[in-house]
Amino acid sequence: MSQEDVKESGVGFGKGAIVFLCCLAVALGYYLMLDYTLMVFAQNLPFPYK
Amino acid sequence: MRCFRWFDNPKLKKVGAMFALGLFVVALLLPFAPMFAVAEDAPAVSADAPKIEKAKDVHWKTEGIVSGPPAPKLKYPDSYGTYGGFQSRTILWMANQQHLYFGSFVLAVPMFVLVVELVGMLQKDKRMAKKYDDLAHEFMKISLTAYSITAILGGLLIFTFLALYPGFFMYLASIFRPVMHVYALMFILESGILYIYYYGWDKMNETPYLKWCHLSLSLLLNTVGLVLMFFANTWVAFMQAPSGVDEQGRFLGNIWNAIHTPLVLPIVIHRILGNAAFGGGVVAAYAAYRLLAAKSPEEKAHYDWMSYTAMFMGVLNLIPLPFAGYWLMREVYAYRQQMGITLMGGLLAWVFIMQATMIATLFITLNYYLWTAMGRMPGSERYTRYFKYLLLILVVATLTWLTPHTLVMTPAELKAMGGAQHPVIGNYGVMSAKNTAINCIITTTVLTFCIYQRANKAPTVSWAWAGNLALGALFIGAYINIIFLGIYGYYIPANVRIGLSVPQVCTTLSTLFIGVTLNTMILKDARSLGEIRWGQMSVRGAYALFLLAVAFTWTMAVMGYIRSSVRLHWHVNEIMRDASPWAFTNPIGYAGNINSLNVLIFWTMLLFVFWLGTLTDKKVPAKVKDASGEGIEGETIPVGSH
Repeated sequence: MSQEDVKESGVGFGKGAIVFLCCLAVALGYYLMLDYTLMVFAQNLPFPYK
Repeated sequence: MRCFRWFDNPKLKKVGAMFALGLFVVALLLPFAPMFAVAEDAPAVSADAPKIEKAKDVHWKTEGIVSGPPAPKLKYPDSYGTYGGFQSRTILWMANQQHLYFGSFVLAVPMFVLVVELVGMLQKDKRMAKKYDDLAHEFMKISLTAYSITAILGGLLIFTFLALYPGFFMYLASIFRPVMHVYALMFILESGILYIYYYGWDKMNETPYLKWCHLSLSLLLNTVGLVLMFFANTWVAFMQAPSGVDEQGRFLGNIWNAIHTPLVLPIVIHRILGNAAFGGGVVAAYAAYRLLAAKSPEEKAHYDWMSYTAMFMGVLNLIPLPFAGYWLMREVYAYRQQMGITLMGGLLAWVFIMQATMIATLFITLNYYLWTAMGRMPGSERYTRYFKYLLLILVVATLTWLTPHTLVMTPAELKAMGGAQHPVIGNYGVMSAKNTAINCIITTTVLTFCIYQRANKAPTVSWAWAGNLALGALFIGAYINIIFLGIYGYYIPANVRIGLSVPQVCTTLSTLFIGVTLNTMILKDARSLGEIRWGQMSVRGAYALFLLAVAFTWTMAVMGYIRSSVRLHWHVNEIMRDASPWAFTNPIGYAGNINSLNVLIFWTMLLFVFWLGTLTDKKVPAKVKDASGEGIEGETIPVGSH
């Protein structure tokens, strides 16, 4: 899906891959923040567990 | 009609509509009068009065005045009735289940009708507004017949209680007496609103003002319906986790404490969502039935659209349902840990495996329906090749979800395996794996919806390529996080592990809200690749909707059985023992058979309701005159629609 759209829009594969990796990093950062907030602040549980 | 002639005067119409609405709002409060009457009737304390005895609430630990007799110690056969050799419990079980099915249905449909009518009123396109209005009216028509059956089954249930479990029912009535009056009066009120709402539909369609009054009636109807359901739920919640009584079961005079039991809130929320999902499934099945039976392309198009709309509304409630279920289970564990263990890790654990199988079936069927439905959307071919990967995720997650923790084995098998748990698949029988599985299933369903949204559209916004990449990253990131938390759960203690379900759920919900919003933004001013060819869906899609509806029905039966069985040998948990010979937990096969029988009876009755629905809108061929006064052959006029 994404590769085709990238081709259709005329954006090169390399640029597409970089943007995708940046988006993935942002998404993972968001989810990790969500994990931390909901474990530590909302439930008073350790995250990561030591 | 002559008697409604005054209704033609616009001013009188407004006054009449306002008067009717006001009357219903006042009537809404009237049923609560007996509650206050009970409070006023309480005897005043005087010197001659017998000594007031106080006792502690069994759950809330507050002190209250003893206001009722202790829970009776029942004896068999004195306190129970029987019908020959039949199991009284099974008879009551079936009467209860049938009433609940129809009750859920007539509660859910007005909720959809409210939404659909409102959507219709907000439409600028008059053709679409009429389409939505007719759809809401047709939903209501199905509900009306089912409403009568619900009332009949309610009567049957009361008689079954009185005939077979008089001792228990009298005790329950002694505590909930004021609320039971409210329940009965609310039922009358609901009937009144329902009939005016349904039969006044066309009359109240004439001006926008009257239409808003009509919508307000719908709101009132739903309010009364929800209050009715709330009361019925308080009784089952009391049986499972009582409060408002002391250890002997004596009522302590505070009806709110008896209503506000520890599990009542999650049970009510879970049931509202479940009923709405179930109602959507049943209406979708009705529309699928009409789609299969339709002869003309117009009819096919209408029922195809109707089935999709009903299914969509059902699914909106299905998605949060597992989360509400987890909340209920969490509260059960908080109330009595042993009860939670009996449910999920003990006596009833295998029934939960059945339930997991059914829910997974629901989601797979739903995805299958959407993939099939995309066949009527030009441009959807671009996505077809990805469906197999989505199916792979669903199948793997389903297999994980229904893997049991322990197996029933012979000693030789146990020895050969080296323990009760299989060294490999035993790992998938724990909550870490199961939470991961259901979150993956729901996330995949959201992804299918996003694809459905864009199936016949080509984005035109300049940043579409970046938006698509961000959307892909959002979903891939969600899968990574859900699976990471699932695996991480194996390495930490149970008390910390249980907390991981919260971020897992929020990851799924984030994907739902952010994903759908982003997808909608990408599709703003999108170029259409062709109109949806309503009515041209493969018949397999219609059959999938039947499967979806039957799976809903079966799941409800199984989960109702689980919730009720967890009381084990108690009528009212830890307060009133069940002394009948049927105070044992059924073998899983017997429970499955009775559930299947319940589903079969319900669907047989429902097919009758569907058939009745077809009788009222038979189309008769008629000649339509053209401008020159000549008849045009082949045109049809709907007669008596609704």
